[in-house]
Amino acid sequence: MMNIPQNLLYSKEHEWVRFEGNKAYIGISDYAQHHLGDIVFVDLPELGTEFDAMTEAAVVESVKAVSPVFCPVAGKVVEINAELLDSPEKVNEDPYASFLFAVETDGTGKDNLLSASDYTPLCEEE
Amino acid sequence: MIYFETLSTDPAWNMAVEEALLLEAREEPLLLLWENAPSVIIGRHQNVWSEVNIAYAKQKNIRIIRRLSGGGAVYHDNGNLNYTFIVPVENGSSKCAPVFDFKSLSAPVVKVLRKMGLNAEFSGRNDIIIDNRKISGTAQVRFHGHLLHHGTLLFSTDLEKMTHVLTVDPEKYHSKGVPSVRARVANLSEFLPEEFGKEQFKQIILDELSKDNAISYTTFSHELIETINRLKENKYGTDTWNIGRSPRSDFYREKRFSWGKLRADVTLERGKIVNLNFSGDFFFDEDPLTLAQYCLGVEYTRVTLRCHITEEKIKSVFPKLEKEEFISFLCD
Repeated sequence: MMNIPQNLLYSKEHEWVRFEGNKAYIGISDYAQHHLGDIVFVDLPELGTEFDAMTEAAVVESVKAVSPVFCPVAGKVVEINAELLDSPEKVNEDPYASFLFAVETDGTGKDNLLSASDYTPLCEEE
Repeated sequence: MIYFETLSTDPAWNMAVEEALLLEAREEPLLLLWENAPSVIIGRHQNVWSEVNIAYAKQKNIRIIRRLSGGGAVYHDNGNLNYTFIVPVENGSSKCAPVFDFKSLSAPVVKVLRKMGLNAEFSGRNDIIIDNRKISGTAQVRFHGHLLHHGTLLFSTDLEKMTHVLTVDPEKYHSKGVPSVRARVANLSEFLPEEFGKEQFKQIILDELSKDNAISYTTFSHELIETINRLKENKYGTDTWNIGRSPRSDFYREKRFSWGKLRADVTLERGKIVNLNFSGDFFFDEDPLTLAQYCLGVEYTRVTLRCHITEEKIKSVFPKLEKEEFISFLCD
């Protein structure tokens, strides 16, 4: 059974988002890390980079493939989880404690995100 | 399924073809069969200095190109045949389904090899082996709602050159990049009758693949060629992507010159020098720290270093060191 915390929002591309004021922390869901397999490298965006909602912002490489991580809400990167550069496996071990990056956002794109209960079927259908 | 020939053995062009076709995001699956002139194709997140014997590559005119997919470094020459499948991801998600199935995407190739009487099987994470020796490595990348799966087929590759160019002193570099996994390799020609040539092999692969999927042959549109050229010029043909995109790494260079022994400890991040320290048993005029600081933030490629650093600056610290000597010392 996939872990899908109630207090987070999700994108259809399997990112999770946690809002703290005007800051949004972004990571990949338990379902995504499970399908990717062992993650061997995380390429994070540079601080200050601006992204539109749902544009490619980071890249994860697993033993299976290279896959994009989208920035679900528009914003400017204000924090990165540099620990993952040394220990990318943390994303597998605890995907919800391992944010990849955080953006300062005006909330553009938030309306398209899914609640935990709306996201759950996406992890079942696939 | 649509079949393309890449019409070139230029590795930068061929990498650009793959990305251009991914960007096109067609509904129909695509197949490419292609070959590269002698080159090392490194994984997306690999450190070029810890994976490639750069001095040997230069000496033998072997190019170094970074690909879009992950995994380890591979050596290509005209004895190696590459195949690429590009398929749309059914549900639109770039991260998950259709689950990363190397086995099913490599299955058609394994099937062809078995039909030829070869004892080929899928092995480990993403290899095809015959009698426990690797003849093919595969990798995948997801991009724009499409999945690209490509692989090598060693037919009559120069395995000696391969080993040489992919051997680097492991003590020398400490990288955060993805390391290559060594494997016992073999050429398919070892298992086939002598008269069996690579062109014949390629034709069989193509014929067999078109038995299961109706294949239409297509050429590149004018628009596609423009995209390929742009990607080649701005990405796959540049040091910035091929060399500079290496993950953070620490390494040192050491050389004995007529005037003393010089060592440089270097840290690179995003292809730029973020830390540099000179030491050795030399006498210097100005503090070497001034030269080190002068190099900080500079892209670690010969071209950029050559533009950025003046002979005067080098000589102010090391009076007997020529500019080209200094650049070779740092980069080779």
